[in-house]
Amino acid sequence: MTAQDFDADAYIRQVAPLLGLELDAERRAAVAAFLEIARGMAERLEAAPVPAGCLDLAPVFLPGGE
Amino acid sequence: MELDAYAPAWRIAAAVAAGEASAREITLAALERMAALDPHINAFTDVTAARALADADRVDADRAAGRPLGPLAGVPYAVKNLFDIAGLPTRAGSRINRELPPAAADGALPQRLSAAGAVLLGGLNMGEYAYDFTGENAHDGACRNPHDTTRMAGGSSSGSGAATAAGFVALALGSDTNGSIRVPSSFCGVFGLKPTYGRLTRHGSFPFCDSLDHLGPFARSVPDLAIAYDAMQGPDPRDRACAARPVSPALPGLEDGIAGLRIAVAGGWFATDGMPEAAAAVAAAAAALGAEREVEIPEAEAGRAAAFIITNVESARLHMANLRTRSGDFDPDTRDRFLAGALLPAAWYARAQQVRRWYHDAVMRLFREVDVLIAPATPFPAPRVGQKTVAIRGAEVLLRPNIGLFTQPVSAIGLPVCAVPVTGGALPIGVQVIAAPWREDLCLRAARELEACGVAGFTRPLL
Repeated sequence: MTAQDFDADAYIRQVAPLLGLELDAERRAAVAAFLEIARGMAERLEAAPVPAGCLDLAPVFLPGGE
Repeated sequence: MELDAYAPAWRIAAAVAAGEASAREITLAALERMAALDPHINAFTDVTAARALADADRVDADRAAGRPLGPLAGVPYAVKNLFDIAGLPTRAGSRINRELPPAAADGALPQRLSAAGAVLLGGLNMGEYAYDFTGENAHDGACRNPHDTTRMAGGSSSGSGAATAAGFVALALGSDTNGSIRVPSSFCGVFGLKPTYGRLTRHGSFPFCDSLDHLGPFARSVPDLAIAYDAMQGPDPRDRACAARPVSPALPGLEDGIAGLRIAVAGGWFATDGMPEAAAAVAAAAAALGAEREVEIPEAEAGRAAAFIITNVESARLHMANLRTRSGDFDPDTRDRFLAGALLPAAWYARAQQVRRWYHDAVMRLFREVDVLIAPATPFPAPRVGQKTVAIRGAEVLLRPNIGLFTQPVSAIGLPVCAVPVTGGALPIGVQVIAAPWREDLCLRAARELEACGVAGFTRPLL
């Protein structure tokens, strides 16, 4: 998805009710600004040359602990 | 022995142990100073005076009875108000948490400092739920910088930096998820230690982002930082992230110097062109440590992006119930960021944890050839309270997203860092002294070298 074809307001209107969040137009506009910042970060992550075909995640889960 | 408000913790403890000063008189002097000066700074949100005097009296009674005293006997300290303090709700900078029942006991780290003889004076101001680099807070008011009260203390451990710099306490505790110990250390001109992720237990503190939360001390000298750090080490099964490692004291080797250490300046993402104060601080520290080599921390920008997404998603999840039902009770400066975090696609979060692992592995390879890295702590000294934009490299940019530019890639992979105030500027500014995981001792040794040669150190504010 490129900067031109992402509609932050439409995305928020679709996803927020799924999560039980009620956001009026003023809130949506404010949240959209932060969503755009996060999207820029996500694009940077997408561009990182991480080897394909594996998904080594940072958190380690150790079963058996309390 | 003369003890003023800026006396180091080690000297206070020595005076108490020698009977040259009582813990009670030291505590009373600190409480009086806070009453007179904190209205101008707003570092404290809770003062636990009665408890502090009772604790001080216990220290004095122990001495009178000939019982052994801890290494921090009679040393005044305070904690960011996300640490549990018995009898107080753990507000974590929020309005919402004030409705919680009072904590039944102190958090694990305050318990360890108190067991070493330190005297808790109260809870400290912070940015709401630690999602902040400025020290501004809509509920408790901005915490102001003791060096210039028109300026920010830095966040989110704002009160921790300010109370230490103002001479209210000799030690403070804070938390650091993306820079919240190092930023106020830099702006307030004090030393701060963000240990390796998993080194110090977080039990009994209110979380921000489980994957990235660290706790650590502030002090006006490196020996004080090391004494406090050593007193707080040790495993704790109540915090799953706390490593089951033996205590590794930093104090015994603190004066070992830097001979044999491979020290380099971090370049690339950490370049300070167009940031004159930060550039001067890094240059001074590098020259003093003989760091002639510049190395690039690989993929630091991607690491920062990973920390951003992980923080946004995990913290939003933590507060989801309140975001659904009472978003109006959040600080307006954190609310919309939490709401955005709640909406991020799951694929972004998984990618962030994947990139974090990959970035970590790349940086570990760098530590095969380098022992200590020098990097700027903040791009600039403390901005003015209320300031929204700042000039970086000739461009006017938003302030809040850029304060943590240099701290975020370091905590993203849990590296130990000492924030070190470099002397000589009109306003304080710090550098980061970074080492490989579990080598806090190297951070502190290099910081001590900078302090001993006079390049770094605490400068008294004009209060």
